[in-house]
Parts: sequence; structure tokens; C-alpha cells
Amino acid sequence: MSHDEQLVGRFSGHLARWFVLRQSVAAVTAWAFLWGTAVLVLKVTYGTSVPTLLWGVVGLPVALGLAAWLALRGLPNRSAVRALLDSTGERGGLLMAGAECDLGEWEAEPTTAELPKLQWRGKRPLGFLALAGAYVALAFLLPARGLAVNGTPLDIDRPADRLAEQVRVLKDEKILDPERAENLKQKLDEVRAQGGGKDPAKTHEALDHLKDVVKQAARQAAEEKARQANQLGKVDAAAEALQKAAPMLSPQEAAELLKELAALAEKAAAESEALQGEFSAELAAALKEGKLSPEQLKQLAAAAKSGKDSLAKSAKNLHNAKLIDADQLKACEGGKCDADGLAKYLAKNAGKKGLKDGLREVQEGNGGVNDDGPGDTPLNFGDRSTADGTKFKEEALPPSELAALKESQLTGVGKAAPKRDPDAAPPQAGGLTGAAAGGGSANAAPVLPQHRGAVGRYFDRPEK
Amino acid sequence: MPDPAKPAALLEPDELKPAADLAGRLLEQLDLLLFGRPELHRLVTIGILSRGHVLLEGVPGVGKTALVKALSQLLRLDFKRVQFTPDLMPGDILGSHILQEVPGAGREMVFRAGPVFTHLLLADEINRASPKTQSALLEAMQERCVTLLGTTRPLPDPFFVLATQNPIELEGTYPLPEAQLDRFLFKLVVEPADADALDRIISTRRRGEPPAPTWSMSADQLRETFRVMDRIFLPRPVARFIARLVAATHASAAESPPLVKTYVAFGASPRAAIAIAEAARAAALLAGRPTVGFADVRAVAPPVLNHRLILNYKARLDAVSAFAVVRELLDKTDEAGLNLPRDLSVAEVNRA
Repeated sequence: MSHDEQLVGRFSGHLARWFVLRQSVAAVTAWAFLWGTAVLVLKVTYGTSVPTLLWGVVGLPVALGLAAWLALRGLPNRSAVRALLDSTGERGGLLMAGAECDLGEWEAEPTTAELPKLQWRGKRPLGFLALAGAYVALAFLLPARGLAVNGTPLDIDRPADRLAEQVRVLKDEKILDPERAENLKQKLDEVRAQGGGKDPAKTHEALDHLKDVVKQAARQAAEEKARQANQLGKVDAAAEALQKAAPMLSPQEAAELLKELAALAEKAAAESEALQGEFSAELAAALKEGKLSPEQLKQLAAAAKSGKDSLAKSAKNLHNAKLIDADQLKACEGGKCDADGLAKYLAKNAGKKGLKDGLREVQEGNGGVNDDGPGDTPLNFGDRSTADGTKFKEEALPPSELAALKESQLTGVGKAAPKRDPDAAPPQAGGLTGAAAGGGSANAAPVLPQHRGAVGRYFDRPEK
Repeated sequence: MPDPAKPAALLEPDELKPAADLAGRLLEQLDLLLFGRPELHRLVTIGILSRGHVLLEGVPGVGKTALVKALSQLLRLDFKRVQFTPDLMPGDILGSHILQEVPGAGREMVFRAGPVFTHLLLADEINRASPKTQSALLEAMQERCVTLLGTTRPLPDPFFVLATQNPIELEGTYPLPEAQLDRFLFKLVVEPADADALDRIISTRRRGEPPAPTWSMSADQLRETFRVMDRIFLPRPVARFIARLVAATHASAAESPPLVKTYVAFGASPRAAIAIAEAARAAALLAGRPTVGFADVRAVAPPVLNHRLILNYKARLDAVSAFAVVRELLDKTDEAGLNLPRDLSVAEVNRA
């Protein structure tokens, strides 16, 4: 091999080394950044242990192999290397010619012994490599616990506090028994403790479940209270009505109605603790016998009112704790019965209809018990209004049609007297057809002078 | 059939040396006769050795005509000078047919050759003639023959046109068309002589006239030099460099540098690539080498390309010259075609 060939070979090798080096630096940098990122992700998501994460090092030879392959692919060919050496060595084309023809005596020409030096501006790539190394080290050194999303608690204090308050209200209102309330509280504390950032959906699902349980209990209680309030309202109204209607009833009729009231009150008391607490022993005994004195009737009405109030108060507490809505609260405040109407009804239908029928009649939505007919409703006028100060839209009236009539022509005179056709259909289109609304005039399309002859001929009647 | 571009062997030193010595002596004599412009003399010599036509541009009195006359004396070639004027007609250069009395044959049209029928034609102030007259030289310069009334007459071999033009006093001149310019191998700018050269001229020359040359080259010696020059080897990477260089003069080329893309309206023709290759061969011969190197190409590229690049109006506005564009081209074109990555470069060479 000639000296020139050796030079070219040496420089090609030199170039290859530099190419591989710079490509390797780039590849290792990329691999290190990827590895570091993978380490962080695995630590955070799965809490992977360090020995397992060290397996990432197997990517290094792969990266280096890829770098070497890419570097060798991008190497300049020998002809270009020869040209470079010829140029830098000031060989005037002899080195290049050596590859194409026989140099003959020119081969003995003195040549350069040293190769040109290659310079690599590697500060930036090496800086990035160092940065990548530091990144990998940092990824390994950072504690997994500090990175884990699990460690981040989920902020559910507000909904949990509200739920705890609702449970407390339900417990206070004796809707939930203490054991059940305590159980719910424990579950809530568990959700609070275990609720983390790892699986927020699960935590919220648990909270929603507890919320449903609490709301369901509150809703059932509210329905029960509404029913009891309705019963108490009936008892209250019936007691009041019997007091008012007593003078108009015979003793036998009054006794019958009192018996019915007693049965109604006993049934209500059996269903409602609120009413039971209000009954005195004497009243309870009288109710059992079905004989109530006017004084006892008063006591019964007061007891029913008091029971209604306590139910309403309890419902108000539930509403304040956002356990029931406004409609449910209104239902719990009890149905209002018209005691006066019921008294009138009982007096009128004494001996024919019972208390139950009367209550059904006076119930809200049934139209009341007054059957006196419509009667004359007084007509009331409010304050009269005047047109003073009112502004009306001014509008000019259409000009008179007189001018058009002046230009009209006589087209003929009929001899026959006009007759009315009784079978003729009413005119479909009158003189106001097409008139502008509010225009104040009928449609009066003028016949142009050039058309008047044709119109006249159309309407001209032949003389008979 | 052997490939002429791929010789079996290079010129032997024994073959090359006489021709290289002759070329070197020609240049040496030129430097002796005329002071102060060795580089110009070198390029003119290269132009002659390449058998190309040379356009000399310079203000009056800088020695353009003296240079051509000295060259004609050194080459011992037939020399004609035509002073181009606006009323000069093509027939005044090419020649014309005249009616002549021929004894015994009556009268007949006889061709009277014009001054173009010579070895070395000095076209002085060529841009003063009308385009019609300038174009009379087109065929002569390219084909080295003249066609008149359907008859083509070859010009003497070798045939060179050395034209001069004055860049000032442009009133009443006709700028050379691009087709004509392209036929000149080199356009050389003749700068005024410096103080040292002027000092030497007025100290040693009476009325500034150069002395008669003590040596001259015969026509045979010139032909032998041409023959040797034809065998100077152009390596493939150098040819590739020339091709890339000329291709990059076009703004549409991918390799063209920003200056070309901004200021060049039309790039150089393939004739430019041929001219660079020929001139680089001559430069190698003058350097006594059997092969063309990148340095030869870099030396001849500016005078070959500068008059072939047609710059746009923006270049005139920004005062960018064709020489600046060529310099940028040479700086930005990687001669070896290594295409090294940007962060890798060849630093220096330690010579043994």
C-alpha cells in the first residue's frame, strides 16, 4: 500500500472515531434523558424499586450500537477524504489523481507525514451529556414517597364535614338510631383517612354512597312527617269544628261525631309520637271511651297543633341541614283544613254524613264545602285612568279619491234596475282587501288611462 | 477506446518540465517588460495558454494596450490592432469582397481579409463599436472562423482576441451583450500602478516605453506547450468542485449561498465550467504540476465568473459586485465535498 493510501486510510479511521464519538454522545444523552424520565414515571406511578429501575442500563449498549451504525453510515467516502487531504496537504491534485491513474515518477514527490487535525466543538453536546447524567442521578436519588401521588391527600373536608353535620342532625331528630349514626360517622372517617390523590374517583364514589344513604333516610323521615302532619291537621280541624258546631247538633249526633273524632285522634296518636306526648291521662281515657267534654276537645285541638308544630320544627332542621328541599318542608308543615267550613258542613249534614266525609270535603283541592251557588259577585273598579298626557302616533289620512273620480269616464248606462241576488255568496274580497293595517283607507287601485278602454269593454253590457 | 479524461499515466516530469519552463519564462518576461502587476500578467498568461480570449477593463493609460503589445512581441505572433469606434462596420473587421481586375479573366469579386485574420487581435475600446460590429466577432471568437457570403474561412491558429474597455466615459458606448461577454475566458480589471511601479517606470523607461524583449516564444514552442497542457490531468473531485461551483451561481440551486440567492438574476453558463477547467489546467502547468488542484480552481474562478454573473437591480442598489458574490461562493462551497457535521471541522495541518 502506498504512503498516500495509508494516509487516506488513517484519516478515514480518524474521522470514523470522531463520528462515532459525537454520535455516541448524542445517543447516550438521549438515552439518559429517556431513562431518567422512565425512572421518575415508574417511581411515581408504580413505586418501582431501584434494583428494578437499574435494568434500564441495558439500553446503553443499544444506544451505543445505534450511534455507531448511524456514524458509520454518515462517514464521507474515501474519494472525499482523499480530496480533503490533497487540499490541506497542498498536493495540487496529485493525491486525487493517484486514485484514478498511475502517478509514475510523481509518486516520489514529497508528501505530508502528518494528518490534518479534526476539531470538535463539543462543549454543548458534552454539557447536555452531563446534564442528562445529573438528571438520571436525581431521578434515582429522589425518594419515591415524596414523588408518589398517593401521598397527596384528597381535599374532601368540606363535603365530609357537611355529611357529618347531616348525620348529626338525623341523629338529633331521632331519624337515625345512635348506633346507625355512629356507624355512618365511622365510615365517613374512614373515607376521610383513606381518600388520597391516587384514586380520587373511588373516594368520591364512597362519599356519594354515604350521601345517598343519609338523604334516603331523611327523605323517608320527611314523607312520614308529612303524613303525620296531615293527620294532625285533620284532628285539629275536626276538634275545632266540633266545638263550633256543637250548639247546632243534637246530643246524639254530637256523641256520634265525638266518637269518630276519638277514633281519628287515637289513630293519629298511634302513628305519631308527637301527639302521644301531648295527651294527658284524662284525655287519653276520654278518647278511649269516645266521650269528650268541650274542654277536652280544646285540649285535643291544642295537642294536635302542638304536635304539628314540633313536626314542622323537626322538618325545618332537616331543611337547614340541606337534607330535604323546600317542597318536602312545606309538606311537613301539614295540610290546612277549613275548620269553619267543616263546622258548617257538620251542622248542615247532621245525622246524614259523618266526620270522615266532612274532612274529605274540606280537604284542600276539593273545592270546599260551600254549596250556596255562584251568587252575584260584586264588581270593583280600581283607580280610573285618563288620556291626559298620553301621546298618540300622528298619522295623515289618505287624500280624497275625488280627483280620481273627476277623471272617470262614462262607459255606458244600464237600463235594468239593480237586483239583489239572494243566492249570491258573500263577497270574498271586500273593499278593504289589501288595505294597509291602520292606513284608514280601502284598497283603491286606479285604472290607468291606457287600460280604461279595455276595462270599459269588459264591463260593457250589450243592449237587449 | 480509451477515455481521454482518464489517462493511463500522468505526464512524466521530463515531458512537463520544458512546457512549464516555457510558460514560466513567458510570464517572467512579461513581468520584466511591464512593472507592478504580476497577478494580472499571470492571469493573462493563463488565458493565452488556455487559448481563451481576454477582456481587459481599466481606465485609460493604465497599460492595457502596452500589455497586449508586449504579449504579441513575446509570442512572435501576427498581431493586429483595431480601434473600435461607433462608425466601425463589421466589414472593417472581418474583411469584404472587392471587384478586382484579373488579368486574362476579366473582373471578379476577390475577398480582402480584414484585421481579424491574425493570431492576436487587439480590440481596443471594444464597447465603443455598435452592437452590429461587436457581433461580427461572435463567430470568430467561438468558432475561430469567419463566414462571408456563404463562404466560411478559418482563422489562423492560434487565434486570440484581447479586448480592452473603459469603465468610465460611458456616454456613446454600447455595453457588450451577455453572449459576447460569455465568449471571453477572463475579464481582468487593470488597476492603476502603485507608487513603486510608477517610480520604476519613470526611472528606467524613456517616455514609458518598455524595452524590446530579449526572449520570445516561437509558434512551435507555443503549440508544444498547448499539447502538453492538454494532457494536464483534471481529477474527478476537482471536476466535481468546478461543477458544484458553477451550479451554485444559480439562485435556484440548493447549494447557492445567500448572497447568490439575493443578488444574482442569472448564473453562469456551462461555458463557464469549461473555461474554469481549461484555465485551471493552464494554472497547473504554470505551477509545474501534471494535475489540477483546488487551489488552481480558486485562482481562476473569479476572473472567469465575474463577467458571467448577471446581478439584479438590488445588487446595484446595495453596491454588491460580482467579485463579492464569487468570493462568497468560493468561501461557502466545500471543495472536498466532505459534508462534515457543523460541529466538526478540519483545524490545521502539521507538515512533516
